Amino acid sequence: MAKNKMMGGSCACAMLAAAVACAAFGSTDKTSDPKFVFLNTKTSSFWRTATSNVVTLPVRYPDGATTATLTVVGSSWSMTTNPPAGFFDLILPEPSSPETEDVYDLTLSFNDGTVRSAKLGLIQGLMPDAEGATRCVIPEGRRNWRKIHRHAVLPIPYGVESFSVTVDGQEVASDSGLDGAKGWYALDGVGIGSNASISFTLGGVSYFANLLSGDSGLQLLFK
Amino acid sequence: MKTQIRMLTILAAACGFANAAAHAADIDRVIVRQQWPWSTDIEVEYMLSGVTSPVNIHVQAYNGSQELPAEQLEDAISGDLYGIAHDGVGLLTIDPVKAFGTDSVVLPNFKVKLTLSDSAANVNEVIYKIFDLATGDCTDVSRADILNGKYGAYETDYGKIGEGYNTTLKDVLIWTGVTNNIEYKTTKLVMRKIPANGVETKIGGFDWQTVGKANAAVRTVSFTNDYYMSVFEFTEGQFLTLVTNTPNSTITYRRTQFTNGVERYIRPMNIPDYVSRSRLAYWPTESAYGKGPFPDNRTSVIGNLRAQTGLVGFDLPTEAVWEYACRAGTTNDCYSGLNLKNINEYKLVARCNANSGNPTAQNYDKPAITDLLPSEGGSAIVGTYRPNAWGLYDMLGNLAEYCLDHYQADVSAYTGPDPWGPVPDGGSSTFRVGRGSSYYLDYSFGNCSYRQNLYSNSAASPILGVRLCLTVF
Repeated sequence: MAKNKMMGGSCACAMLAAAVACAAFGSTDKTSDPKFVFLNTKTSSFWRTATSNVVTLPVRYPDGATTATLTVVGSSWSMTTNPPAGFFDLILPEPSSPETEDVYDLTLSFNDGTVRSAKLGLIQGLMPDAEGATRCVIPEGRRNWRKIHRHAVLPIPYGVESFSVTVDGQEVASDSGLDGAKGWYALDGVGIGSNASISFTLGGVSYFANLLSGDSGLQLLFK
Repeated sequence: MKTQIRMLTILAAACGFANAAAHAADIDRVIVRQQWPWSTDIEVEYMLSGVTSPVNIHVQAYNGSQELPAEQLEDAISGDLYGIAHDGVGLLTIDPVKAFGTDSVVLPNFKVKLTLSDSAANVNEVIYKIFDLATGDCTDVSRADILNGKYGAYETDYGKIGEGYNTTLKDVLIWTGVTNNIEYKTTKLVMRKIPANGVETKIGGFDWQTVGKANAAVRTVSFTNDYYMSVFEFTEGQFLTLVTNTPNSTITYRRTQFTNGVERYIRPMNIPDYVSRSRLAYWPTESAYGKGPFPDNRTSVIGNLRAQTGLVGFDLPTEAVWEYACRAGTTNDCYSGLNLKNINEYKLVARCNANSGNPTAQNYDKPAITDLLPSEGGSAIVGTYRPNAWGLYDMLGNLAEYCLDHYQADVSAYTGPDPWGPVPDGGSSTFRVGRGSSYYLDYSFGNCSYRQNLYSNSAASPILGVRLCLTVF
């Protein structure tokens, strides 16, 4: 601020006024869309959903940390690696069928003692012809889900503050006290021919989705 | 931290409406994302188009309609903020925990507003050079690189380095983060640009030991070239990296002397073992400072550095070059802009006998070296103390810095452009000038104009080191 201190008060005001006038005349600005931002680094344990088996994870080393260890544990697959600072492409086993869908426990630990963990649900991927749509799956038979013993799984985007689920016109689940994402919601008893919908609030904005039945499962369309 | 640069931008805009509206750039979209839980960092992506001259990005952050105080955001944001000279995608990173001072809340409606303005004219000026001593490769670092946080922490307000610190320098920009990376103290050499071309200034006369004497005559000098000074004293780690990687180097590694050799590789190398005692005669500078010829000499540190980098401008600084760089826009005893008042103030900027564990310390607090931590006694790890306004560390205290000039008591004749002290015949003279005092001496010697008469062929001394200079011809 040495330069600032050298200016007289009236001079500074005059120049500042001129600058403001200039800025108003010559500046260009743009505002982003609102975004839900998490600061709660210690107590939150949010889920993430992935629609591709390649997940890019940012790896930010805390001050003082020099090495990191990433451990990924799923029901039938696990791996450990030492990612460098930057971005790490986590390549999960590619689902060959809806039944191979899995939930993974991710742990990123640093040699300074910092540990970050999260759960990652991998679903089969975005429908190629329906941007903004993702697919829920209906496990068949007696497949033993490691994390979720239900028939259908709704991915709930993180940041959701409240949601409700309706099946065939009847509300089967609701929660208005969420302070962040809950990841997936297990939906019981939904099969081919059922009509389900989900509504939720995210960043103060309400969203509504229909769950449409199909031969290969249910397609979730966000509106 | 960044207030001054922002003010400069505003002032530049205030100088004329035409300049303020000169850029035709536009931001097409702004996207905010956060990849929780792997990082709390908020990434802001923007698309810039129509750039015809460098622009700055001014960021305002909101939670809903409530704007966050600018000072909270300033220290938490980095990325493509200053001197953006081309169209394309820019990326900013905001550390929300740092910005909001808490990690216990969520922001349900976070958004940013980006505003364009013209960059200051010197925003893309190269002000640091980073030399890889293993390869000789050089990386230029511009003001924009520093301001964009590409190299870590920095400071634009010298008054924030210490209470009452001041300078007449304009556009202060100190890369403070350079002290945090051990590479810059061992395998790489960081040098700061000292704009001196055409500068006329006064040096000398502020040494209270010799004020009024010819030894410290106030004299007017000028410079015909800009130059770079290394931000740290040359370390043992840097020496080892250089001489073991320079092809055909004839220097063999010998352990330097330390009062305390713990973490020796990031402490300043003392030179008698390597340069003066047996190699003074081979110092390839006796006829070469800015004038040539520049023989390919690999028997000295400077010769190795020239060979490794291909730059003949490397040398020791002359006294005038050293003192101008040390003062950094000040005329007081100490480069902080303050006169030396008491030992406690001095101990914030330098290692002297009162904080080095030197048993010869008198009159002041004098911890025995055994009372200090292993890393604390003797010479200091480079970059331990506060820098001057050009971001040079340890210019006072630590090791006395060997200059190119051979010592002569009466310096009143050495004035005018690029003054350089007497040159002895055949390089056999035994005395050179040391500047900046050392950890062995009382703090009263640690001022910007104090000159030492150093017998360079004497037995190895642990108090004498070097700081490298690169002249831009």
